[in-house]
Amino acid sequence: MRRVCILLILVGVAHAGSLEEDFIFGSYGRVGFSFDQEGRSGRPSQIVHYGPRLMGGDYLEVDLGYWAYRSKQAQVKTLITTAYAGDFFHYDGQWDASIAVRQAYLEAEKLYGTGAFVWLGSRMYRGDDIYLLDVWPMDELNTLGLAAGYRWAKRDVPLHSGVTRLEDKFQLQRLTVPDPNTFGQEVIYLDRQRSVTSLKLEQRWGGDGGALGVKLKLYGELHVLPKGERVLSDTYEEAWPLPDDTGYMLGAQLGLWNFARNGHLNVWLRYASGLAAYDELSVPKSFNQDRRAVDNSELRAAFSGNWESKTFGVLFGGYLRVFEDGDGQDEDYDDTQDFAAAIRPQLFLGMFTPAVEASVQYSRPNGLHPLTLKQEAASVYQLAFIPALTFADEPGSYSRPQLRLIYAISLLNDAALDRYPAVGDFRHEEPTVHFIGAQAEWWFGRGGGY
Amino acid sequence: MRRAALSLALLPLFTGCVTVDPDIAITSNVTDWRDEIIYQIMIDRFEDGDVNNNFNVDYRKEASYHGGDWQGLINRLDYIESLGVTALWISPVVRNVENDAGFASYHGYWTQDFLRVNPHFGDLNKLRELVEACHARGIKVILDIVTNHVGQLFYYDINRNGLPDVVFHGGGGPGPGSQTPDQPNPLRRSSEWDPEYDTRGVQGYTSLGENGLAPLVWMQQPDINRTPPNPIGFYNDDWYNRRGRVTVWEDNGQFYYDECRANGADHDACERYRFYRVREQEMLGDFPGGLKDLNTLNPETRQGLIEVFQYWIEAADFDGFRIDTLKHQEHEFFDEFAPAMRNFAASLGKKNFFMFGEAFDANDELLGSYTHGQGVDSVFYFSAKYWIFDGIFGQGGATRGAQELFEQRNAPLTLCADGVTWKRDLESCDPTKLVEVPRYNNLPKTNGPVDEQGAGLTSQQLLVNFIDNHDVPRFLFLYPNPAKLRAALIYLLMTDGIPCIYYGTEQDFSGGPDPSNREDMWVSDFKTSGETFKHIQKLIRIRKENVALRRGGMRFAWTTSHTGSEPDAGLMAFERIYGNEVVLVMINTREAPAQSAFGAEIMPTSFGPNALLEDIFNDGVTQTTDANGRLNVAVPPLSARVFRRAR
Repeated sequence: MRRVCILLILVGVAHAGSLEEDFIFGSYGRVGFSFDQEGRSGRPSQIVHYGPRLMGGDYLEVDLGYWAYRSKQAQVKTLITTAYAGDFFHYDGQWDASIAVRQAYLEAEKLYGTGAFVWLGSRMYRGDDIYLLDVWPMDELNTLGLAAGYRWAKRDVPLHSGVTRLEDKFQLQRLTVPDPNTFGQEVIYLDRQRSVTSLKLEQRWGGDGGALGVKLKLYGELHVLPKGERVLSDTYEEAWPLPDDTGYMLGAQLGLWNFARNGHLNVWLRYASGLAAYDELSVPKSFNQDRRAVDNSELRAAFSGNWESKTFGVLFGGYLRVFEDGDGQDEDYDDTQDFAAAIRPQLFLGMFTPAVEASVQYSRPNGLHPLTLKQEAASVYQLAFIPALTFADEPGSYSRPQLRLIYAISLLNDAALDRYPAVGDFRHEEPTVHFIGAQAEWWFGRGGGY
Repeated sequence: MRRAALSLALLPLFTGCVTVDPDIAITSNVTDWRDEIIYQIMIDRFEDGDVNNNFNVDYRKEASYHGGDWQGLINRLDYIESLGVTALWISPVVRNVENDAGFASYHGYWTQDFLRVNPHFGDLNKLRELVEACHARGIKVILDIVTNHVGQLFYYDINRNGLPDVVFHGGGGPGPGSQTPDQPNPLRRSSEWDPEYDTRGVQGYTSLGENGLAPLVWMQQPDINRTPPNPIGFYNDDWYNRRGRVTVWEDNGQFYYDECRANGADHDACERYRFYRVREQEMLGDFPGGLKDLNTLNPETRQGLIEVFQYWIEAADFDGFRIDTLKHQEHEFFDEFAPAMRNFAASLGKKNFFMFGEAFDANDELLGSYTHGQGVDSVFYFSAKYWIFDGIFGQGGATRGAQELFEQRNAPLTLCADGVTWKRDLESCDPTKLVEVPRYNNLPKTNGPVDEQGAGLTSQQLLVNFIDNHDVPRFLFLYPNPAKLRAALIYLLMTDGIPCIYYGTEQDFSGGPDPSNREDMWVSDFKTSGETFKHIQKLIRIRKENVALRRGGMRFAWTTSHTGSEPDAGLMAFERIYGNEVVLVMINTREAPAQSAFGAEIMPTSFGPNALLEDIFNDGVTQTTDANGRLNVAVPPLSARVFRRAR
């Protein structure tokens, strides 16, 4: 108890700001409603791994944080992000929204008055994204982890290591075992944490005072999963050995910024192998005969950018994803090449910021469709008209909050329709899909430093 | 195709592309089916080559999926090739109802979709890869198909409550105080999934009495793939006989006989009545387990079946079909189905497409009846399985039985030649159409199997012999003596016809009745050092090296009715003759030495007097016939001597 008091005193002494100055509050929100041509709820027509976010569902995040300590020796903050995805009570009438804790971590920076920093906790740990496709093409991790690094003026070198253990039979098994005092107690029998270690090396040149900036980022991940075994829960028989597993990912990013108002251009290339071909919040779906994921691979090439003037802007992005699963089959419907790209020209006429978005999705499997027995590339072409009000003094592509109406038409080819169940799914029958909706989107005060 | 052109324009952007040809080359792979040695494989139990398709696998349960797949079989082709077999009969490939009443469809006989593959075993590409890999090694592939029934896709709503339940009728009365003591009201129980046979069709019933045909209710249970069948044509009540489950089989039917006699008919008339009533059930009733019987008297159903199985010839280049539950379908069906398959295969350029069926019965007349006209090319020789392999090799019966069975192949069989159909239903036949034929067809079929010279082969020459299979207990379960099994294998691989070996026989598997006889092959570690494995290897080598053993005619040289201590007891000898080549096979089926003589009688041969023979089963040991061309030699217990002229 005495130690706690001392700590509080220290905090009190070192803390220089007020509650208003130190409180961190932020939010991301996307809320709306929509219809299709039949009056049903509007829906995205997505056939690739990451499709246009324009018709994404409702999503909400709230950041609550606090600068808990600030001195010349360190600046420390805590941040908790709650999140919600799904239907709202006013839509489905269900009083059961499930709020997730999306982040909860403590970060200490400027340690000893230097660029050193450290953070620990549950954290989204991300680089740059392709906004239009809602994807972080190279570096995006979600772990319970620890990171330490150093930030120079033009260089960042963070090293991170974290774990995930998904509530999935691949990584976790709970068993009820005999207990002399009760009728059994639950134990964890299979406990496989995936450890992910990442290292970023980012170097920037220029960019000061509106000058052209260039950055190069090299990135790598190492994924490790220990061995374990799974048993049948009713008899504890027939152990399924789950061998240890590994994977790695290597990536590079080249970025430019300040070549125009809010202008940026990023290109990425990354290659992931084995376990790392599946992100840390998913489990491998394909294995070799040793039940290892080592033969999975994923290659991504991506780009994104924004160019704008005071009255006009163009936001764009795209990626190519070549995925080969781990079963060793060459002719395999599960091996795919996906391509998606989107471009959004937009006018900035004061608050009125109408936009048009065109996108394409293309997905080609390496095998025959199991029902049509044809090897067909699926494609979706989409054109959207987005009259919007953006509430900013000088609106740009990324200015928010925004209220917008959306009309989108999507054209699906036969192979795309075949991605939907042939029986009982009306989507299989509709090569043309209309989307009419209204959305609000905002972000502000993000304290996360994702 | 609507926007395919736009899509294809993007294709060059990509790397890692694999282009799959939706069409495959159709090949002719068989010179003479008598050269082939079939190896029966239950895919789910042979080898797990891809853990990624192990859905619902549970090794503990004999009736669950165990993980075997086509990739596993591909991985084990070296093993199969080293054994020496030349053709694989693989279990059904089509998509099934996943499970029913705690049993799974690992065997493949519960069709839900006639045109799609069972994802437990791989995809169509993998199936094609398997067939192609086999063909590259000279191994043929025979597909197991089911034309008689589909899986349990619907139930009979007997009480019309819209639920698939068990219906009870009656109270078991009359009880004390009953007003109808002379009208018993027995307690009856019917499962709406699998009700008993009713010649009128399964009847609806409530406490108020029968109310006509029970409606069929097709299930939508995608989680176990119990959904209406594909192609959509099969989703039609009129394509099913809807009479409920077979309850009386040909080897009993006493009920019908007694019913007939009670009506005052004589014995012969009642025997005929029994036969036709039982056959009616067998042909029109659902197969036990609620497998719904297709109405193959309906021309549309027939055409539907023809089209789906023509598809499989073209889709994966199979070399033949093994047809399930043959005796549960009418002869007329196969008179239309079989030519349609042959002609279609021929139109694709595939020669020697072979179809043989399973009529699970030791009745030679029934088996043979399916081979006449333009029906199937051959049948499993169940008569030999029961009379020879079980009766003689297993149980020590007299070897004379083998000779008698052989001679019965040509015994007269009366059939009704009604148009193109050769029916066994004689009761309704115009007497002028009754014909007498050999029990097994001795006439080749149009576009049917041919020999190397292109001459047609007959069903008599193409009977498929087997010791055991997935539907009967393994030989070693019934007769737990590997030496007996090895003696039986000698007969299997030396007699005429096409030998068929059930997987695991070479590993001395000894499982009992289904499902215990469907062991996981991988528990054997695929050893090639076992005595039975080597024995089969040797027999196959000898068969391949001697054309007379493959293609030759057959003449019994010695059989006996002796089963005691007589010197020839247990001896069976036959010659296989092809042109000038003669191979004499002498098998001792018993556990004591046997001699090819009894008293003054010595075994005659076709080799002629003083012929020098070599024993190709025993390292070339020589022997000479006597001045009369006879041969008197001892054959070791449960072993053989196989002679040909010394070279």
